[in-house]
Amino acid sequence: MTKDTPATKFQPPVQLDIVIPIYGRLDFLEHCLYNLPKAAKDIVFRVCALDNASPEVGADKIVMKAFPNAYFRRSRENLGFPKGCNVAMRMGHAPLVLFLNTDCFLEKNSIQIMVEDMIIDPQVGAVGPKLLFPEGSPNGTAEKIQHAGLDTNINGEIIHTFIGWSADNERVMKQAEPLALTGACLMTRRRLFVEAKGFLEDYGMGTYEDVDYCLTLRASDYKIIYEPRAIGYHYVGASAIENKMQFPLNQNYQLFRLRWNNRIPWTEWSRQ
Amino acid sequence: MAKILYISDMDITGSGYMNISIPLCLGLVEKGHEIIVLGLAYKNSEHHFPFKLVAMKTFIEVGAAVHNLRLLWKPDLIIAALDIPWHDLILRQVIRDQPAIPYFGIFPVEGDPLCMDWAMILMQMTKQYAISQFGTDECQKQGVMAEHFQVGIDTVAWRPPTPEERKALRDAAGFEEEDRIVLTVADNQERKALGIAFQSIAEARKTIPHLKYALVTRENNTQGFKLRSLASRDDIAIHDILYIFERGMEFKKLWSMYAIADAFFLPSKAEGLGMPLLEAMAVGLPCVATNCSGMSELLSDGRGYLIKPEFVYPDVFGNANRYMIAPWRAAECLELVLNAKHPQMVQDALDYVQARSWQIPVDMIDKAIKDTIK
Repeated sequence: MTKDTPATKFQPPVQLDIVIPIYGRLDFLEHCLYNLPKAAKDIVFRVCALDNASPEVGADKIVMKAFPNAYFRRSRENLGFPKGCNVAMRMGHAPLVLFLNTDCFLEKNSIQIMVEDMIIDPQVGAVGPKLLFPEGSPNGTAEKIQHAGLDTNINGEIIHTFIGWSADNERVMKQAEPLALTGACLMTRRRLFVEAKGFLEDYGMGTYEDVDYCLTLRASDYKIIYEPRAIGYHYVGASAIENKMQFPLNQNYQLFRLRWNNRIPWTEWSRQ
Repeated sequence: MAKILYISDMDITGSGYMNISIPLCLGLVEKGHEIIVLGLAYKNSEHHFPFKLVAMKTFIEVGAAVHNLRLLWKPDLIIAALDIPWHDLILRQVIRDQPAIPYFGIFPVEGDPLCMDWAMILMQMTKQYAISQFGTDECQKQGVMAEHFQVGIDTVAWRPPTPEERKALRDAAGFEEEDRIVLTVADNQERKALGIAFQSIAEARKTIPHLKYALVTRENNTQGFKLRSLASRDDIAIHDILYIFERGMEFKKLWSMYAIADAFFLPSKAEGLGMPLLEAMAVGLPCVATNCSGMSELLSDGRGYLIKPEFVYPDVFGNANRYMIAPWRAAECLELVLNAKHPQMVQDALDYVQARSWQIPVDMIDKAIKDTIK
């Protein structure tokens, strides 16, 4: 629900829960929340935020000030990204769920466009926007592609297709069905997410849970859609950099390969 | 319309194969063909080509990709532009997969004679295309019925500078009017004979005042010369005479290098063709090169100075003869080129490159595709 809706009037049902796991970088959180109303346009949404035991306090005030009807919970310990998302998702009830990192800033109409993709085609299991590097990101050049879907190279390694390319390159501008999407900004259906038992919590602090989830959807013949008309900026790893966190990349990659070995298609070639 | 699986070296920092493959693929797409390029050494950098370009790190990956794409995409034929031993690696994979698929190979023959082992690799191809007349002739001597793939050049992009452009570029680069700039564009590898180039420049500077030497190369190739050490040995003071530029520069900068130069020098011991010679000719530079293999046909008939090799020896890497020039002889040629104007030679060279349109090889390959898959 947008924050300007008067509480006394008829309240349309919430269409979308925006699930935001928080770990530090409250400045980014503010920016992320600030962009949501314009990004959602006519979509009725509710913020479901989980403070994953941030070193800083005050996330609750920021969230509740921006969206008084938000659901907020603070965990005593850092549950990691997958479990944190699962817990926060369970706070809401909307049929659609958008997982959104605090260092991801969505542009005007982006959420509305993604919701439309989900509504138009019931076989769409997940939608993700075009994400660009913002000014000041240590991970890439500003305004260049950070995420345009994830694919596999001939070795079965997960790659960020078109990373570093111009945002208006004709290949990047095409809606596509990549292998997977980043969990930094991923919209899906609550029903499918619950059926899949959420993000696999065995991935601990996180990485690969998003790809794993998308492969689960694909295995049930749901489409994974990269939507270039929806645009956002993704700083990448803001909380991890600030708090010197390390993700179990190798361990999670091994787990991912164990789970999906022999079932990972080569997808890079079809998108190039 | 055919579905073409194209394989080549697509290293954007400097690859002769890429300079051949891109115009050819663009021409074939224009003819209506659909192309997926498996690009060795391509690192997913941004492009706008109207064909798919997939990064490949190794030939093992190429083999796997060929196998997968034959199942997933079902190409009508394979075109590969590679050195002959690399064709062997691809052909082994292609032959293993049934049914057989037509395979067109584009390749250089750098030296003579074509060894029988390599001729046997070429014989497994549906069509063989050598990138020089020299290579075509050498193939035919060994019973390989190769055709000449006449590499084109875009003479709109590679054009002579106007006098004003040339002066402005030289001023910007800090060269004086009296400076005589010799340019070499060549990788830092054994075959390119950069050691001989340095010796030749050292010799030439004894008689040519204000001689400068600009070299576009790969300075830090682990298997190449330590160029600055080599320059010290030959007494070419680094900042006085020698200017080394790293290859992979954008087109405009590379063209500017040709545009400011007074002569082009390629002392290679062997060349499959010598693409930089074509570029230099198109920019209106008088050229000096070793009289051997692919270089001879480019500069013959008065289109440039061909240096008579001093001796010939068989080489393990090339599996063929290598031709060594003497530095004093190269210095003599450079002196001839730099101390006089050569309008007829330059004009003949320009006329020659202008006749080398990309349309010729594109039409030839297009016809061969249609004949093969009909």
